Amino acid sequence: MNVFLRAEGIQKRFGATLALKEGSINIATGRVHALLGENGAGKSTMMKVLAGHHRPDAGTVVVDSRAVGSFARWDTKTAMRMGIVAVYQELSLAPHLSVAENLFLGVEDRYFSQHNLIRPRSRVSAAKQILQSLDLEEIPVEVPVGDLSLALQQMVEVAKALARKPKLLLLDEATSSLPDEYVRKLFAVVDHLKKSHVAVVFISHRLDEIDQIADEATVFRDGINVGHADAPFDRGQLIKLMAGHEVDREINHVLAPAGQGEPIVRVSGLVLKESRPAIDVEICPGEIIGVAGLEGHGQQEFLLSLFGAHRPLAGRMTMKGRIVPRPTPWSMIARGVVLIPQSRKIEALHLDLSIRENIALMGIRGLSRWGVVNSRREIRQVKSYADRLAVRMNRLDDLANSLSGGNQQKLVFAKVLMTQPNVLLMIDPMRGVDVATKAALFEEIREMANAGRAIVIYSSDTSELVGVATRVLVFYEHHIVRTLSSPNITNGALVDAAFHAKGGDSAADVPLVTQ
Amino acid sequence: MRRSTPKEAIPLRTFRWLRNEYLIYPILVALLVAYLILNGGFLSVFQIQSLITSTAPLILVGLGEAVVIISGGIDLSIGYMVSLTCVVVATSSPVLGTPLALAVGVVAGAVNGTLITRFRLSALVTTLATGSFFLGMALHILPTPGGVVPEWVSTVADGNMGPVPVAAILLAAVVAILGFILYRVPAGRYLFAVGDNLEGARQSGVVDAPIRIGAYAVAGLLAAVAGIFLAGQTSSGDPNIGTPFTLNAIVIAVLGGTSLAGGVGTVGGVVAAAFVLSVVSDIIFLTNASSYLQYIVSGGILVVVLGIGQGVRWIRRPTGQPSREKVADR
Ligand SMILES: Nc1ncnc2c1ncn2[C@@H]1O[C@H](COP(=O)(O)OP(=O)(O)OP(=O)(O)O)[C@@H](O)[C@H]1O
Ligand SMILES: [Mg+2]
Repeated sequence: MNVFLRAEGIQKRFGATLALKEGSINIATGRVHALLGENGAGKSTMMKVLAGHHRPDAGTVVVDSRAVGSFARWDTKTAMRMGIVAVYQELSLAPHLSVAENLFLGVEDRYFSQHNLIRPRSRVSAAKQILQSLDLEEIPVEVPVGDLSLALQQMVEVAKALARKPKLLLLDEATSSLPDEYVRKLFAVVDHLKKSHVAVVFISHRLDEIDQIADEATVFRDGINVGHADAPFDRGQLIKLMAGHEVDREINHVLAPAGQGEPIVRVSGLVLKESRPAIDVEICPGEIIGVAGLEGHGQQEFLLSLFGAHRPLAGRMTMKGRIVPRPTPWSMIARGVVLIPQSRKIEALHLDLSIRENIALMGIRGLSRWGVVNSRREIRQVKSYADRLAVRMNRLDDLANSLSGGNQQKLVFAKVLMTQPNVLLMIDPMRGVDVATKAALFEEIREMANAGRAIVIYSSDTSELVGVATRVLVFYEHHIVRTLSSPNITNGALVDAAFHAKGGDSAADVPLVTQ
Repeated sequence: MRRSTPKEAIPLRTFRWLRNEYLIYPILVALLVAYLILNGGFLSVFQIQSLITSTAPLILVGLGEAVVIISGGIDLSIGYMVSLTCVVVATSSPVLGTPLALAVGVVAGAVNGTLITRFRLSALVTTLATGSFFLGMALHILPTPGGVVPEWVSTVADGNMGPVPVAAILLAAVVAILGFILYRVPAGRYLFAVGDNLEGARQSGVVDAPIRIGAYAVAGLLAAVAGIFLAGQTSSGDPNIGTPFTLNAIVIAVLGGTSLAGGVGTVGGVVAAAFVLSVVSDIIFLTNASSYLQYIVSGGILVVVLGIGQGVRWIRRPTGQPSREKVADR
């Protein structure tokens, strides 16, 4: 086994937080190395150190058997020259630049510039070539990156990293916003890289993916390397290593009682796209409704319409029997309908505001009396929610920016839970959340359902719906083609339904809309 | 989808005292000490009073501008709103002048806000245009300085109650009310949230239009108060009196720690920054230096303060990454 990079005793401090105490890792060429750990364990920090994004406070790094002597000059350019390229957890593309411009940003000279001048036409063709080699022909190269879906943007990030011809590719939760079909494409790329002796570090909280792709795994806890394992992995052991103690519930498969009583929300005649059949759905108290289907087939628009953040072509919504005239986010929130949006950074978080302000934002009116915020009550409530969701932080007044990705996601959760919603809509709510917390959050969701609230989840990771949802609506071309109900919701059935949405004939399926 | 520029988490908390918002206080203290020394080791009550009354209009426009910048916008018309309201006071009836000027300020600000939020125009261009309009109005109403200002307005702007300037009392009230709104009322929270991430605020149920229009209206109101003050202090209306205030307002807001990217700023910092500017001009006056030096020095202070703040970020900034400045594009 050929070691490409060895890091030892890496230390990194951010103010009062010691993000890495004793980070170490051995990365071999031609292997996929999983980096595991709970939210805030220091995975991203370690990766950013290796990619030259952070200078470590202490430690040694040896690349290609040459030691990086002093870190004074350690930066992304140096790391890139050594072949180390990273895809960060938070997207870092320039949204107004085109896909092609983004792909080669800073490395134009390697591809098509002559005498330091860029030739746009060759850039387009070079971009097309790269995307084609990744089986991503569907991505248009001349549109601004910001116009693409989150999943496609993530794939562009990967392609951008590959355009830098890495010897070591660091993937920080690259799959957290990817639907299954793109995860498959990404894994094909990783397999190919492996064959060409590229080392890959893969960070993910989805253990199924780790089983599928990783050759070995290193576990971090509290900024320390606490263990290493080779494939095939013992999942229980990995989880125990990550948490530092026995974890009994990964995801326990106890179902909430199916919906009962009068529907809270009734949607009728909802049309999401020109000349598609209408959607009629009733959402009852106690239900946990899953939304599935291939990426971009109207699932998000469906949830956003329920929240008033998307204007459907037609349709009527009633809540508790009363028509909702012109739904908008604020009027829906006032009615107890809240949404966890897909992109926490763009649609949910205020990174320059404090943790406290972020969590309290939605419920601040409820914490006010005579129009004045009751600060003591606010702090008490915010603190109780932050503790309940195990947000790993120093102080409530720290900026949201200082939290790890998974912990930022927990802020979004805390924010919506604090409003005690009647209907909770979620788009990829578990993005970047670690295994133990995920189980706790699903527990929370189940309890809410038991208390008579209704929940609608869309997840790009369909396996999350299994064992949680009481009913799954399968979307295809912006309408519902099938509904699966409780005992028949299995991973296989979901994938099947998504891909063969048109001609399904399984006995369990209840065709909702016939064409 | 425009706010997806990479933002790097900088542990500012550890260096909080070095952020402009905190840096401005020691600078103010140092300047006051210098002023004291240059003045022969003592300050008369009169000097303190006149420092406060002459700073009052700067504080008012600085706060107005800061509120707009926190909301994610910018107001380049604020100085011309000062001119317009100053002229209105001096040309209307003694009873109606002041309320009319205040109303003109609020309406002018609300027009700015409405154009920007409802019609989604760029704040920069809109306020540049409306500013020109306000200046034109002011010149139309009163082409040359003159008019009559009621006695009581001059008393408020220039007078004292015992040793305390009336302006100080009024300013204290403005600061208290504004602070209360910003920090203790949901609308204040929303102001910061809207400025930091508009889309995020909307999806959290914040109705952004009233908040943003309100921010411009507050700027208009404070500009009107400043205009009335200036009318009182000079006992006349002057259509050009407000012109330098636009730039000063922005300098004061930024010097006081308001982030041009929106979402960040404090009342205290802005008040201190306004005092810094006027102490500088007093010191220059004391030393008999050319009054143009004032511009050079205040420009220098701005660069130094921003530079130190930025230097801290530079040091703490992860290597090889662009600094975290967002583009204020609203
Ligand atoms: N720029 C920063 N400023 C302050 N604290 C930081 C910063 N970056 C990381 N931290 C802290 O360092 C710790 C480790 O963070 P890191 O992002 O490495 O976690 P992670 O393992 O990637 O977690 P996740 O699974 O949630 O992404 C956290 O406690 C986090 O709050
Ligand atoms: Mg991370």
